[in-house]
Amino acid sequence: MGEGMRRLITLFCAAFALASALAARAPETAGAPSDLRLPDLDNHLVDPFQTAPGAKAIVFLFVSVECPISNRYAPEMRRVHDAFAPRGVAFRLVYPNPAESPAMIRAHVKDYNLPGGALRDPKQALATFAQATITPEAAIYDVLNRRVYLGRIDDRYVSLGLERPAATRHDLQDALVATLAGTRVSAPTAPAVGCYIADFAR
Amino acid sequence: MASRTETQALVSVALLLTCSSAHAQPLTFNKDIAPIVFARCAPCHRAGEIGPFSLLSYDDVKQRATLIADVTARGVMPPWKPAPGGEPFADARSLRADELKRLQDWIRQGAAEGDPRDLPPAPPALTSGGGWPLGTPDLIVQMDQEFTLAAGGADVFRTFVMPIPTTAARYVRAIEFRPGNARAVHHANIGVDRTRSSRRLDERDPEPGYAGGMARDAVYPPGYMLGWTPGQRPRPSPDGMAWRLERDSDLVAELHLQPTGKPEPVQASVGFYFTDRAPVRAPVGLRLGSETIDIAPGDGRYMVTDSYVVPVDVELLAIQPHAHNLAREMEADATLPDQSTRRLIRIADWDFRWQDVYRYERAVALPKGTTIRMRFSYDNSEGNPRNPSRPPTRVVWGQNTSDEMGDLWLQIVAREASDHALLNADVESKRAAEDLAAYTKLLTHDPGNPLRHDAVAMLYLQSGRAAEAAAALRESLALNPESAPAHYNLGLALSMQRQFEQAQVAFQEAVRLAPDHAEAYNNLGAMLHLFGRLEEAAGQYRRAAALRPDNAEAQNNLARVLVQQGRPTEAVDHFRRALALKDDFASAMSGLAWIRATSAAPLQDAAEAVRLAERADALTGHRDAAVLDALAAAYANAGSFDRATATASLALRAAESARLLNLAAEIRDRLALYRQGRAFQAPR
Repeated sequence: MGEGMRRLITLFCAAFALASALAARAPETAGAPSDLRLPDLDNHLVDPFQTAPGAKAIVFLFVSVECPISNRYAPEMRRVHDAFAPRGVAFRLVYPNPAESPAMIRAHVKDYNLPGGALRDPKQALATFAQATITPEAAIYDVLNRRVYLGRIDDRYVSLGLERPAATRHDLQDALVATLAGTRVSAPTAPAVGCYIADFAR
Repeated sequence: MASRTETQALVSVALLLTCSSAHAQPLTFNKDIAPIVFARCAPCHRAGEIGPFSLLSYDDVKQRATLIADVTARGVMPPWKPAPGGEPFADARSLRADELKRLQDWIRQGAAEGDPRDLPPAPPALTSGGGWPLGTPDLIVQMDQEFTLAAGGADVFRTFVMPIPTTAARYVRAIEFRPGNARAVHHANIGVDRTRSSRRLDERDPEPGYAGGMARDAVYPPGYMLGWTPGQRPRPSPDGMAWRLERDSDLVAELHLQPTGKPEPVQASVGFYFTDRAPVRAPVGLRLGSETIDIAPGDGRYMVTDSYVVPVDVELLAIQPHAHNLAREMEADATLPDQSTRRLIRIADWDFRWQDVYRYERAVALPKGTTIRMRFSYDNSEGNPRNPSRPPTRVVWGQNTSDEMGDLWLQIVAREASDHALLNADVESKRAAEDLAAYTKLLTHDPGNPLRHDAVAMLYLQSGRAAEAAAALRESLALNPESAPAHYNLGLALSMQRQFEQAQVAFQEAVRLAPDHAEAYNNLGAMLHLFGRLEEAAGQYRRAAALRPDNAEAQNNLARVLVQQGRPTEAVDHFRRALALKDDFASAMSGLAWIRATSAAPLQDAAEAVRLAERADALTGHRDAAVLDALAAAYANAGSFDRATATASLALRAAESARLLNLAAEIRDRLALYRQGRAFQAPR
């Protein structure tokens, strides 16, 4: 209760400062669902939208243990995390495949040096809410818990089997810069390339 | 009436539909899909192999069903680039049309598991569990240290050098590459380096291996294409077509490494499978393409085309297209003398990462006069996602991945063994001409670099253009007068122009600058030998042999001096040593045959003389005057005077056309003897 309160207070300040920018756009989602709870790696149910005081945005990174493209993005996820976590962005790893146990996920986070706390999403409740369909895929929510970006981390993968030597657009990073600046994310969605979350449904 | 017929027709259609749906059992994994997945996917998609996840169970496949539907529909998986419709390849990994349809239908129907009793046994592992598919190798070499591939970043191209501990030359019937860490190694090109160039590059790089591609001295065994791509089964060479591995060589593996997201240890190894059987057929590596590629930025349709007319009847065994990131489409076909065409390969969407050596299921017969054509297209525009430069820049030919290449390698073998020498020379001269064009282009950009002059000179030497080679070497020596290799090569170029006195000076300069240069002593000996200074020549040959005990040429030359000095018993010993080092050495065979045919007992041996001379004659394509002369002497010695006369006539014609006038005169005298039914006897 106290946590949520403090975040609201921060929110008021931010909203005040950015009043003109915020007033110009309609919310894309009507905030977080109050009843959404996901198990963490100790099987405690937690509110995925709950953040530390002062958080200005939250990024969900949908990943899976055995998806090669998702794994290849581990260093890039780490880089974005290290650049934006100090600026008030919270990161959550979300594992939507029910076949991936807490022990597998712990080993995965360690082996790949992945950033942020890990949550399991065995019924794809958060994936469905965020409309994420792929691992790896990123969803950014702003201080009002409105989704401001959904899609790829960058454009290195054009499609399955077609890869650029290096990314030419850093969509997640650009969206975070815009979100922190309080300006509109220029491309609020971009197709992600990787493994299909729908396949994980039981 | 009409209306009743329509009704009947409708009823029958409805019945048909009912019948067909009654027949269509829903597809199940265990019955319909597992056989496809086990055969086409699981060889790579299992623990320890390159596939990043296993596909060995229903759960494995079900939790990736949409992914599988997507990648198979678009032909991304299984990774097999050649389009169907050409000459068929062995070990094709693509799905047949009916297999693809069954897989797609199953996924659309909801991907049911089915009856467990229908499930076939899982396929045996290709390499998992430490096994080598061809059995325990005769020799295994391994990277001496692990290389650690970083978690992220661009793909890494790195070359590793592994000394091969052999004490004698061996015939290799197969090699098998083991990536060590299949998930990080995307493919390997494999060469053999008899020099120490690759080791020197390795020593200069502090980490295991060195950054970049193979050195020019690391080459395929002549006529073979060695490499590894995931999922490829090792294939022994066809019977009688082993390749010769010289002793003390280095195996060089250029690895394409793909970061996986976490640091990966890489320690590749290669197993060798030897045979005692010397090859009876030698393949030739024909290269088509361009080494003067120069693509303007933004050019979306740059073409490389080339063609080659085969000079003798050949069989095509394998094909390997090679290019880097900008190539898009590749095609090659053969137009036979009867104007029919065979498609040799077509790749509609080239992907550097899935390059392969493609072996034909059956050898493709290409008669003399067949034209082989190739055409590669390149896209250096911004619209090509694989373009490594943004914005696009000018791209020229080169080995680095930011450069481009356009090679089409064909492994061909002459139908008749006697055509091999001619085919090989023709293919070599085509390759040398293209190399020369490339290196001349590089030289014009870097004229102050003596190494550029050396490179051009070497190519002139290989194509027999001695005067141009000598000119380039003099340019090189003007820039770097203390280069022993340049003096040595100048000696070679001058001796090819029959400027033997000047050549002797050049070889002397080479041994002065490099006192351990065995080949230079050998060639210095050869000049003295030509001047008739036999004792001095023998001394130089002995120094060459002492420095390099495996130098077959020095042994052969020494034996020839000894023959001239009237010491045939010692000569036999050195010819034998030459043949022990190089068992297809035609010159040593014919030298030994000559002694066996023309000496008195106990050196005389008619049967061995004929056997050796016939083999030497086959190896030289029935057109070497000295070898034909020895064969004629062997026939005469064995009492076959008709054959001796016929062979000596051929020898005479060959000697005359090569303007070997002294030899021609001697053969004429011997021919007269054979016509009288008399053998030739060496003067005692």
